[in-house]
Formats: sequence, structure tokens, C-alpha cells
Amino acid sequence: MKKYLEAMRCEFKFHLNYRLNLFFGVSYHPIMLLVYYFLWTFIYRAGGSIGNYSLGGMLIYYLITGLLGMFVPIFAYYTMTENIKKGDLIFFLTRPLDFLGYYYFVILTGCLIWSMSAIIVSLPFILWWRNILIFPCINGMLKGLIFTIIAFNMALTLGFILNLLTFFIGDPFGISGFYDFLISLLGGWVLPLDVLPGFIQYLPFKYLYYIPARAFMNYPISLTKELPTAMLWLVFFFAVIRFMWIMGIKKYEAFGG
Amino acid sequence: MKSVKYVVTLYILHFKQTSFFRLSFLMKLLSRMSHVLFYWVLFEVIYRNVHSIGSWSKAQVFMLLGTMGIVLNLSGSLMKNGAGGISGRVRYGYMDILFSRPLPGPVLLAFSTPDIVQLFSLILPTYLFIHGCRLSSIPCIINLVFWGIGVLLSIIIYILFNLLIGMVALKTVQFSSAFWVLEDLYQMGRFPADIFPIIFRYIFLTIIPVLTISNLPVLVLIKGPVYLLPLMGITVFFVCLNGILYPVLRKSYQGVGTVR
Repeated sequence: MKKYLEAMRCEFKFHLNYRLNLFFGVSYHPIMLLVYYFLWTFIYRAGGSIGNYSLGGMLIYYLITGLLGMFVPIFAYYTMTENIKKGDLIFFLTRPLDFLGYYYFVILTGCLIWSMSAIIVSLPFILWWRNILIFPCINGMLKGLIFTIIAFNMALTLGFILNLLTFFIGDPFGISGFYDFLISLLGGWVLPLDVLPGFIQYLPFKYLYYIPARAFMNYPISLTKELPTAMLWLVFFFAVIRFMWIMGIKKYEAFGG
Repeated sequence: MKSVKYVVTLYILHFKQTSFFRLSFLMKLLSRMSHVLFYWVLFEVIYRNVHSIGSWSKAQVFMLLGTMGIVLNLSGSLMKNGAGGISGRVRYGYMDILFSRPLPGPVLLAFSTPDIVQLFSLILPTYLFIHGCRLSSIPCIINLVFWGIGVLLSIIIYILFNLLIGMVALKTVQFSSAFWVLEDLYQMGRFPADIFPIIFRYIFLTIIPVLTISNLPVLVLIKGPVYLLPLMGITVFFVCLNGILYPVLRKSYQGVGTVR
């Protein structure tokens, strides 16, 4: 465990070396919050509405999903693909360091730093919208945190699957834009899932953005139903990763000097 | 003429290179089109619940999304990250190579990295634009021609603006993160200008022309060629600004030799 903590410490230092870049990197979040604020206020003031959401509900939904977007690593790290492609995976295989374990902790650190930066740049918006936002109660906060942890792990497993595809098809990042779109749409990042066709709610992606956001917004979410379902999906994705890893290592050939 | 020949040759070479990796090409194509899909879904759902956003009907917003997609993809196919890559070139001293070629520096800077995938990904925004035109009743041919001129001017503005921001790196070396913000700002262009407060409209229609390049060509199509005038004015402004700043910033550049 000590070596993984050291890896986390290194990652933490690495990110803080380029502090300004860190804030430029999360620029998408405040810019889109501003756009969504103008869009939804314009629509709601003209008498329109989306689903059963109030203006405050819509804004807090996008605020939370935006922050979750910074915390859930749907791509994991591209360096995983590079390690497999360029043969550097051998450094992990010949050391007492688990490749996936190492990246789990490194990515966790990165995501924590990114989301902290996003929270900092969101503070002015929270203050600005304080009169229309719906803030979570203790119960909602707890449920939200539980589902955020699940969202992180689910996104990471999906990211690992994407990167482990390198063993079989070369660089899978060509499709990253489309993958991002699908996850965003099916996960509830583009729009709340209850205004989209119902079948989407049967897919596991809702646990990435939609369910955590709804939990933070104090919407009633049945823990006895959603939690076991989410855990089952996680177990399934872990099994897929394990299978891909075993098959991939069998196929893998290290090269170079 | 020499510059056009240079850009065309680069295109052909890039096409040959890309055609070696057909699966990768298809995957990238799908990825490039996903931005348009994203906003298509968003506005499709919005228009199921409202009749119009300000003065913008569903058909007009689809034309807007299509136009913005065409402008971004066509500009991207010509220059990809040409301007965005200046920072890296300055850092590693690659600018010497560009400056020592018998072609204008800005042309080399902007067009040295064409992207054929983006050219093919024009299919979806073009379809969306035509779909929008069909929904509203096809606009007259004259306005379509003016729209084409508007799109052309928008592409020139986009390239000049990116070049202007990229050239700052000649002075500051590290400036690539400005392009992250710029990329995010360009997403605003996919929304009708009506939703923004007046002050934002002024900023994004003039100094940072992210609304200009999408909204004005569509207004040319809907309301007539009078909206070409501001587009022309902004184009001339950026041509002059680039012309003035390029020689100044170029003087600041220092080669770093053969670091690699």
C-alpha cells in the first residue's frame, strides 16, 4: 500500500507544478455553466420548462454533473495505452507493482485535484445562484457521496476497459470523442435522463452522472434498489477487466531495449 | 499561388497517410461528428418543450448548429491545431524551419497540419444544415450564396483569430493552455446569440468572435446580406491586427538550436 501512496504523492506534486494550467484545464466547467445559465433562464423566463425541473433544479443539475464530469475518469489515463503500446508495461510486470492498482490510485489523486479546482471555480456561481439553487440536505448529501464513489469506480472500470483494448486493437483513443458523447448522453450529462427515452435508465451509465446528481438534489432514491444494482454492474465490469487483463497479458509481447 | 500549392500538397500527403489506417480513420470520423450530435440531441429535447428560443425557431437553430459545424470542421481540416501548436514549436525551436521557407510565415503556421478526417466529418453538420433549411422552407438561392460567403468569412476570422492567439507564444513561449479555453469558448457559438445578455453579445460578436462565426452567416441566410457587413468589418480588423502584430512578435522569437 505504501508504494501506491507514494505514487499518489508524486501525482499530487506533478499536478501542483502547473497550477495555472490546472485552472485553464477546468475552464470548460465555468464556461458551460454560464452558457447553461443564460440558456435555461432565457427559456424559463419565456414560460418554457423541461420535464418537471424548475430553473433552480436545472441549474443545480448541471452544476453537479459538471463537477462530477471532473471527478469521474471515463477515459482513465491515456498513459496506460501508451505503456501497453510502447512496451513500458514490462516495467510494471517485472516489479512488485500492480499496473491497474497503480493507475487506480494515481487517477484517484488526479481526479480529486481536478474536481477541487472545479469546485473552486464553481464557488462564484454557487454564490451568484444561491437564491434559486436547491442545496442538498444531510440525507441527500450522504446518498450523493455514496453514489459519487460508485460513479468514480464505474467510470474508472470503463476507462480501464477502454485502455485495455490496446492489447487487442492497438490505440483505441481514435473513438474517444464518440465514446465521450455516448457516455455523456447515456449517463445524463447532456440532459437529465428522465426527459430522454425510458430504456436509457436500464443501462448502467446512469450511475455516472444522473443518479449521483439526483441524490444530491434530494430526489428520493431507493438505496435498497439502486445500490445493489450498481454494485452488480461494478462486479460485472471488474470481471470484464480481469478477463481482458489475463487475455491481454497472454497476447502481449514486450520489445525494445 | 505558391501558398495554395503548398496547402494542397500537404492535404494530398495527409490523405495518403490517413488512408493507410482505415479503421482509425472511421473511428476518428465518428468522434469528430459527436460534437454536433451532442447539441443536436440537446436542442431536439429543448424544442419538444418550447416553441422557440427568442426569435430562433427549431429550424433556424439546426441551421446554426450546421453552420457552426461546417465552419469549425472546415477550419479544423485546413489548420487542425496549426495555431495551437505554435507554442510547442517555439519551445523546441521548430519555428526556424518554418521561417526559413520561401512562403509567408502565417501561411506556414496556420496550414502546416491539415486534417483530412475533419473534411469528411462535414457530412453531419451539412446534413443538419440542410435538414434545418427543409424544416423552415428552403431559403432563396441568392441568400444561400450570401450564406456561403458568410461561412467563408467566418472561416477566415476563425483562422486569423486562432493565429493571433497562437502567435503570442512567439513572445511568451508557453501559451498552449489559452487554446483549451478558446476551444471551450467556441462551444458558445452553437447557441443563438439571443440567449446572451447584451454585454456578452458585444464581446462575443467583436473582440472574441465566437458568436460571429456561427450566428452571422445564419442571419445572412434568414434576414439578408446586410449581416455580411459586420462579418467583413471583423475580417478586415483581424487581417490588419495580424499584419501589424506578426512582424513585431516574430522579432521576439529566439531559436533554441537543435534541442531534439
